[in-house]
Amino acid sequence: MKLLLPLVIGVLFASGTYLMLQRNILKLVLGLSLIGHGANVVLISSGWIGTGQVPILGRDESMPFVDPIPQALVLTAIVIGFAALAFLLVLSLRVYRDLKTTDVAEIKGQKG
Amino acid sequence: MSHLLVLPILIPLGTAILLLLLRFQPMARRIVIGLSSLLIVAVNISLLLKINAEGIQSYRTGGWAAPYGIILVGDLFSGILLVLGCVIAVCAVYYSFAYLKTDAQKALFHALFFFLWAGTNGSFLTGDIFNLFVMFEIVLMSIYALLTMLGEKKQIEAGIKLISMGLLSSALFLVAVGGIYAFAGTLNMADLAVKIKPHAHHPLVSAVAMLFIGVFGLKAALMPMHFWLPDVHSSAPTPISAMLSGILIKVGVYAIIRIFCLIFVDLQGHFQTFILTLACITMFVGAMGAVAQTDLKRVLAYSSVSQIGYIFMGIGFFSVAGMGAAIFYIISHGIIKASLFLAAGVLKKMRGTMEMSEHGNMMKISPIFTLFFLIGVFSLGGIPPSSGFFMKFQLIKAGLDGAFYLPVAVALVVSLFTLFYLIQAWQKICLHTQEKAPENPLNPHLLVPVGVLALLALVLGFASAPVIDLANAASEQLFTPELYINAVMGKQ
Repeated sequence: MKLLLPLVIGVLFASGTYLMLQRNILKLVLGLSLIGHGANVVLISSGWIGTGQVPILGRDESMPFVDPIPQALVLTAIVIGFAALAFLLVLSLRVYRDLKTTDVAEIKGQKG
Repeated sequence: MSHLLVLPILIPLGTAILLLLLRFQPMARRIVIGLSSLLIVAVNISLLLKINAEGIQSYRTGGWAAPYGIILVGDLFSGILLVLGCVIAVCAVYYSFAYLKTDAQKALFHALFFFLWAGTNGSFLTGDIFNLFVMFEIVLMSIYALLTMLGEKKQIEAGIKLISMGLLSSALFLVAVGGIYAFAGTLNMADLAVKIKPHAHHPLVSAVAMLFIGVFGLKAALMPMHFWLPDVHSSAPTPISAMLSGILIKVGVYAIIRIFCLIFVDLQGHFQTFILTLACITMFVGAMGAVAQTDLKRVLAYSSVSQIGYIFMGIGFFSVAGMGAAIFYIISHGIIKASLFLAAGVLKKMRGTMEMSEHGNMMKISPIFTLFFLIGVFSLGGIPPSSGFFMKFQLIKAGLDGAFYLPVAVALVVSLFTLFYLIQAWQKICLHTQEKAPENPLNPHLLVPVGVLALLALVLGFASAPVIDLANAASEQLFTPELYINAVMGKQ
């Protein structure tokens, strides 16, 4: 786990960045969503303890347990990120209907 | 415990919900908007007076004690920004009635506008770093919708840029919050300040501080992250442009000031050169961009980038005088830039375009408009006795006192360019002859908020001493973080 989490975070951020650098607007959306998930994993790992078990209910009292606050934070962050992504997708759909293209460079060219 | 501190968030939030329920009753909405705007103004001003008289106020939401619950904190700096925000917001709301065409647009616009207002007030008041994130998201969400609601192509394109920027900065914010939580185990800003103090030079702390500069710099349009601002500020509906440039970019500035005067106090010297360098580049790049534009709103948008550079220069001095100058700059620039953006909207309504070459003759059509516009231009250009002169004077003086000669030199050179592009715009719009008659007559209702803000800028120039004193007092409070920490952690 100790190595796995940073690796997952790294892969999420790297592939997100790669996708964002593409010209297709849908890839931009996907890239942003991957980066958002990477950030969520960073946040949740900040409360993670080596031999952690579930917080509060049904835990062994003698063992250390996982900090529940980052889990609550991540829940908030996921909902907010979801709303923003949904809005961005709707906008992209609108752009596609108006301009018949998903190419960011072409969208930029059609100022008006 | 007084509940005054939570009202600037609750009233606009409640109003927004009420407005959604009343979306088919235009008259009722008008009354609700009028009343609650007045109420917010009254609450914000009385809050500022109370903070000024009694010191920093804190409020435990839900009654949970300091490091556990979410704390709202009002110090002088947030009080000043609350009042500035409500002045600009009231003008923008009044303006929007004449600016928007259909009633359906107004219903949606005003509901979103009050959500935006709640988020802005919340960002200034919160004392919890994750709550700051949530407030930022409320602001951003409302802006996404407000920017794209009229559905012009330019706005959709700017919307995609803004949302991408917003999502990226939220992700970085979360990473920074995760980093600092893993290190200190708390999210309360005052508690963070106490816990981080002994480990200020730990590499993780510096890394998180850098991340926060990135996140808030992106929102405040600091130089390498300024790319989104000109498109967004110039294509937004005009009342929103005024809000964006007047108060919303200052939310990012506020957050940077807050964390560097509270959590990362010991890193101030560490980041000083970096912030000053970015500030100088921002000033210069913004001004160069503004000189090259032919569209009035884009000139103003680039000018906002440049002015943000000035504010960051004041911050970068990390002295009481410098921070005081930056706070006065925030006040003064907010009012002037809102006035100028609203003036640009008047022109847009008349001829349907913002290209300066399509405009002209405003001197003959409306001398009053010409005068208001000229006050704005002179103020931003820094000509005495407008408030713009004092904002620049204070800043330069603070720079010279601290022996920062290079940034001061850059600021002076850039202010020449500022005057150049503004006078040029004024001349093209007001003095040049234009054969084509305007399509629509000038709407006097649109002119009222422009005039109010322009006169306010002028008054602020003639009576600048009390405001400057207030800004300096706020700055002194910022440089004694113990006051803030005691206000939050002390009263249990």
